[in-house]
Amino acid sequence: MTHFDEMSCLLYLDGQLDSLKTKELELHVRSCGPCRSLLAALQRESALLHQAMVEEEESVPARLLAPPGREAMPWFWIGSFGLAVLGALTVWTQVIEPWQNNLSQAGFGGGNMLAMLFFSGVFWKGWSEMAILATGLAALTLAAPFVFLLWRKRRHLKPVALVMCGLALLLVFPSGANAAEIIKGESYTLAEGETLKNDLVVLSGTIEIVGTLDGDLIAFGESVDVKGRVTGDVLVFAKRLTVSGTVDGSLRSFANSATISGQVTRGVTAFLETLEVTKEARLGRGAMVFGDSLRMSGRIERDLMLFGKRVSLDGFVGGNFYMRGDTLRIGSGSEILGTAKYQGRKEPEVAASAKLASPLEKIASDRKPAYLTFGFYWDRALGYASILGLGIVIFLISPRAFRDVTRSARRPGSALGILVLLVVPVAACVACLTLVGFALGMVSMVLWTILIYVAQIYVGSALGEMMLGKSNTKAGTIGRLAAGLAVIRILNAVRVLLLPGLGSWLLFWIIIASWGLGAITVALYEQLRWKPTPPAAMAAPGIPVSQ
Amino acid sequence: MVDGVKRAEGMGEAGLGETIARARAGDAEAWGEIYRQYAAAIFRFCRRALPTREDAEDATTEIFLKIKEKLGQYDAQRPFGAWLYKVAANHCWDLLRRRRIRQDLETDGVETMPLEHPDPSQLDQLIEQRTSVEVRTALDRLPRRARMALVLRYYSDMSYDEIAETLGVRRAFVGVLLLRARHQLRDALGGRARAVEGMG
Repeated sequence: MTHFDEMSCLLYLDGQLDSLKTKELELHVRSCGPCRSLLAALQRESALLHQAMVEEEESVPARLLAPPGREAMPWFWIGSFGLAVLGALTVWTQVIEPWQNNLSQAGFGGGNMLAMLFFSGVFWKGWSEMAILATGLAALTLAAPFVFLLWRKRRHLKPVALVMCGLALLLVFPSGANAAEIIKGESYTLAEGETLKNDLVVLSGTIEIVGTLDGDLIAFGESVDVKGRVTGDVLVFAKRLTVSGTVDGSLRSFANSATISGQVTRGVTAFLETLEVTKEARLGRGAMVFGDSLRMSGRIERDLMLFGKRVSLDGFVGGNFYMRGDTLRIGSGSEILGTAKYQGRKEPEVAASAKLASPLEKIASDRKPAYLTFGFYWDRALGYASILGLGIVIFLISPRAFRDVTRSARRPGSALGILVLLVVPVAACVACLTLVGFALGMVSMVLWTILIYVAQIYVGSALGEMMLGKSNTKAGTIGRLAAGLAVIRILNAVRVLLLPGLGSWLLFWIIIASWGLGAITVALYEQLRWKPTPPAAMAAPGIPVSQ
Repeated sequence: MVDGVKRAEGMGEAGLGETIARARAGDAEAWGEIYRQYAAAIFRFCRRALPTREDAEDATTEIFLKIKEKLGQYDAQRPFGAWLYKVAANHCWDLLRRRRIRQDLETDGVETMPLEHPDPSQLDQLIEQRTSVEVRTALDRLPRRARMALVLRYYSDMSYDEIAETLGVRRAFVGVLLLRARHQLRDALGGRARAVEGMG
């Protein structure tokens, strides 16, 4: 006699055999002991399985006793938001506004400082002209994964995807610009007598402008020498910069050392190590300089703001003078028409024959330790409030994603964040070296910087959960975030007491940032790896061979 | 249906329907009632389907958030408990796939398995000797799809159609999946109800 196989028996027990097979099987088992026993055994197995599964061997966790969702404690929200708004307001009124005022006095015009630095004048124009193609590419690269996520209809990532797509769109629509002339090579010279009527972007070892450039100049090079005339703005990234000619626009420079002996009609902004402005130089507007050793002669028609270690002034300043740093020497040839302020550690040396409209005002540097001042704690509280505020906003936008990342932060995989921390800037630098990748490199650097700041939020949230256990409620999650962020700050304070110094500061934040970045990366990776369910094939109930 | 859900549905079809309608309309109290009735059953489901207790806790919360969102889509003609398990099963299965740590050996290609006739007495002996605790421990060691299939069938009491839809397999494959899962469980339990070919 041929027995029914186990598959058929199971299907029979589950009522999945068609009526013909069912009858056949029922008939068979009446006269077949082994098959009857098999059916009985399978049935007992089913019962055991069911029993094992429904047995209430452990209690339901306490945190699941109440439904999740919107809960009480709106005061917590109001409090947190209030704190964040207060923080933003204070930053605005105490830091940004005074700065803006100083800047507009210094001849940099009104408007927002960020806008001035990045989106106006040479910076912005240069950006869009140089990188229109690259920006498009970068935007596409950025948008692709997010469009992908949108398409996946992952509900909790939708807001993020929308924001990112919006950002990408913004990048795609820079102001329509004429293509600038882009030159790469060992060295570049715009020869004497030659005139170029276009904006010029040069990446080269040595760059010389002897003729006339009727447009803006953006130069990346080892040494940049402007001997001729540039009618637009000049933006320079270089080791050495010399301006002995004329710049009709403004000059922005990131350089190791710079010498200005020519004329700059509009403002000068410079970040550098050493700067020398010679007696022949003439700056039509003001100047703002961040550097190590600064020697300023020549004529500066409006305000002069200097942030440097050693400063010596021996020229004319048509507006106000402000300096912050270590040492200041005002030579005999100096003349300052506006006010003169100095904030520094050492006594300034002022030559007797220097002509100052008003005596040099020395702003006292606080001698008492920082932690004895109110401002110290206010600053700390402000820092805490802003990161907490940001954390709450991120959490509110997508609670699910927030919890996912927090969960990843509690897994060892997040230690890989150290790689992200190191690899991204290297990759961005490599991208920047090739012009096409410039925008992409800059965008990833900006994103990376933002993420480093955001990273501590997830670390805080994970720390909070480690201390207080998990929570389902919004207030609970935010409470844990607040506690965790506080712990990070307390740990940092302990670090300052035990190991003050840049090294330990760096180490501390590297640990925090890489931990958080790792969590973000792991969570993102898991999201992207998710595969959609293939449509379930609803084939007719087929039954495997039964005999 | 599972005891917890059975008990919950003991509140009466009419009563339950009314509670659901109130919850849909945004009545927090009605929602709380539903939650309290079903949370334990759903938690236990997650506990069986997912690797750790922590995962189960998180998943329970997330499932109820989903249920709250989707309550408007619930078809009152269908049993509420079955619908809940459907949402829970989809959620857990998504979670497991997203978090796939290793590729399971099982593939859809392997749809055939030896048609054996195990020795009923050996199987009986194995069932006699093993306790519920041992079965649960063994369940933890199964590949995720086998485990999920057993949980859907023997905890949630899902039909073959529902299991096929949840796991994204052909309906005809569900029986194979379940039988293979049983074999794997028997192996994990340490005993082997070996096939006895050509018996009788």
